[in-house]
Parts: sequence; C-alpha cells; structure tokens
Amino acid sequence: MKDIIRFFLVLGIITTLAGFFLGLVYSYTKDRIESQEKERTLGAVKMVLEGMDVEEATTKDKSGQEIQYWKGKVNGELKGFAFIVHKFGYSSDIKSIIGINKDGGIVGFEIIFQLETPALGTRSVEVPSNDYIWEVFSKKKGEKHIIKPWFQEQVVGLTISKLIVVQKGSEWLIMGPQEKEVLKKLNDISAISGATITSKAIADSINDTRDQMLEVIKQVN
Amino acid sequence: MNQFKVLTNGIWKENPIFVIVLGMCPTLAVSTAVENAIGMGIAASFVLIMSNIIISMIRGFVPNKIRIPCFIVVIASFVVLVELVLKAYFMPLYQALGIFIPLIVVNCIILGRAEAFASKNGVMASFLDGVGMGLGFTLALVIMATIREILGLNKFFGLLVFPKEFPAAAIMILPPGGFLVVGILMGLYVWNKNRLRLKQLNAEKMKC
Repeated sequence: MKDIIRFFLVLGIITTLAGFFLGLVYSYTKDRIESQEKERTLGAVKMVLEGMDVEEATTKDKSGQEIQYWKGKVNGELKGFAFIVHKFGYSSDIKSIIGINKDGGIVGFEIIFQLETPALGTRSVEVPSNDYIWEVFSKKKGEKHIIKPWFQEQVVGLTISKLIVVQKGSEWLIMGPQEKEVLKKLNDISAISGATITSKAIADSINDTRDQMLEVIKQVN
Repeated sequence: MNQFKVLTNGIWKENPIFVIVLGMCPTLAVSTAVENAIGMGIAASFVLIMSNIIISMIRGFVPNKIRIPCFIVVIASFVVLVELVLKAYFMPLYQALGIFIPLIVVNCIILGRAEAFASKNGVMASFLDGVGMGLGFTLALVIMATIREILGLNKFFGLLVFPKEFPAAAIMILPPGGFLVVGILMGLYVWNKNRLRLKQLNAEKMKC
C-alpha cells in the first residue's frame, strides 16, 4: 500500500511540474504564434492579389454559414477576391490562400500551412533551385530572384468554373512548354512524384469550395 | 569510463544509428534532405541532452517500477517545448520537419539512453553522453541525407549538384532507398571495424 502511495506522489509531482513548466512556455509563445499566423495569412493574401488594395470582409452563404474573404481593389474598383481553402492531405490540414478574379480565373495561389511528409508532400512548397552548389561561392551576394514554388505556380491561370484534375506522370517542373499548354487547357495540374495524396488534397481544397467561392463572387459583384 | 570517452563514444564507436540501431523511423524519414537532417539532429539532440540531465537529477527519487512513465513525461515535456519554440521562431523548419517533431518523443535513442545511461550515472556524465549521442545521430543523419538528396533529387541543401539532365532516382527519397542506404552504410561500418580488428590481431601475432 505504501508503495502505491509513493508511486502516485512521484508521478503526480513530476506531471504537475511538467504541466506547470509547459503552461509557462505556452503562454509565453502563444501571442507570437498567433500574430505570426495572422501576418502569414495577410502576407499571402497580398501576394495572391498582387498590386491590389486588400480589404477583409465577411458574408453569409446560402446555408447561413459565415465566410471570411478579402476584396482586392484597384483604384477603388473591385477586381479580385481571396479566400482561405483547406483540406486534409496525407498527414495534415493543408491551408492555402487563393486569389480569384471576377470571371472565376485563378490569379494567385499560396500554401500557408502544411505538415506533409518531408521531401515528398513538402515539395508542394518547394522552390525550384536554379543555383548550382559551386555557384554559391562565385555568385554575388544580393542576387536574389523571387521564384514561386512550382507546384503552386501551375495552379495560377486555371479557373474555378471547372474542376481541377490531378494528373500523374511528369512533374510540371520538368515539362516542356507544349506539355504545359496541354495541362493548362484541360484545367489540370501535375502531381508531385510520390505525393499523390498531398497533390490531390490541394486540388480538392479548391474544388470543394469552388461553388461557395463562385457564389460569393456573384453576390458581391 | 572517463568523461571524454563518454562524449566521443556516441559519435562513432557506439553510434546510435549504425551500431546500437535505435531511432530508425525518424532516420529513414528525415534523412531525405540535408537541411531537414540537420534540423532534426539539433531538435532531437536538444531533447536528448535536456532529458538526460533531468532524468539523471531525479534518478534517486524515481521508484524503479514507475521509471518508464516518469522518463516519458520528462521527454515529452521537452519535445513540446521544442515544438512551441519552433512554431514561434522557426516556422519554416517546423513545417519542413512536420509530423516528425512530435515523434521525437518515441525516438528510441532518447528513451534508450535514459534507461541505459542517465538513470545510472551522474549529471555531468549524462550530459556528455547526450551530447555525444546527439552528435552521432546528427552525423549519421547528415551522411545519409547527403547520399539520398544528391542521388534522389540532384540537390545538396536545396542547391543543384549535377547538371539538370541528371536522372535522379526518386526511390532514394522513398523508404526503400532509405533502407538501402542505411544497410549499405552499416555494412561498410562493420567491414571497416573487422578490417581494423584484423590488423590489430596480426600486429599482436607479429610480436609473439
């Protein structure tokens, strides 16, 4: 009996101390984590609605559900909309910001959160490197080119008035211009080699909300 | 074992991956890119060192029968700490390592060293053991990641290595590639160890 009490006390003390310690760490980092998420979201909205003044808004859809979105205006004229889309991929809920113009064309797409398999699903945010390793030493500092992740780039230029289908086979990254033309015409995207589930989830995050998005665009226009 | 030997033991002689063969799951998953390997190595080393220290400090206080749950609470606390700090200050690394950060809790190296060393040795020695094992783990990860990233993606640290036309084999990034690489490296390690032992034995024979 005495043993059990001792076990109870020891475990209790350790877990209480651990909980207290972690509670402190959590409260110390909570604000920073939250503000960073807001910053990232807003940053992505500004990137997808490039050159426009963004303004946050909310509206209600047919079922009464509140939808958060952003309006993009150029010289006061409404030119674009941004929405948050998300879908569970292989191991995480993949969140992205999509920018749509008045005709339902996709003008921008940024993945803002994903926790997929390292070097497979995480390639959805991979930026194609054109730098060779030895060039790091010879290239001048400050020569930064802003390249967008190729997987997200291939979404831009498609439309939400049609479903986006994921095609397995070659990756957009290594396709020739003709192959890319064909994909764009079909409103399709290429999958990441070895990460089909992730690729499909990203496409479906758009497909699943397109009706809602089209409705908002019609409503506000 | 003197202090210095405790430290260097984990780096090569008793390397956690190639010799003790612990922590294979995160090894296979994270050794696909050098940047991820270094990040994971640092995160896991931090948890290993901190939990080794704390467990060594409380080793007199923890009853033997409930030592495992106690150790795990300590280890899990440090993993949550790492997760929160990464989320707040190093988001890109957090997203790159993804689900393998919480999996550090069940990284057998950490629980293994807590059981085999930290619960039976002083704080300084446990600290050094943590550092050595952490370095060994990181070293093994980086060696594997170098091979897998170059052959599988034609990249090292995200930068291209061979000309673009290089036929990179995606299988190196997938689990089978991981098994192949770790198996071959382990084989090389053992071959080298035997070769040196043979040399040593021959040298002793000459003396007779």
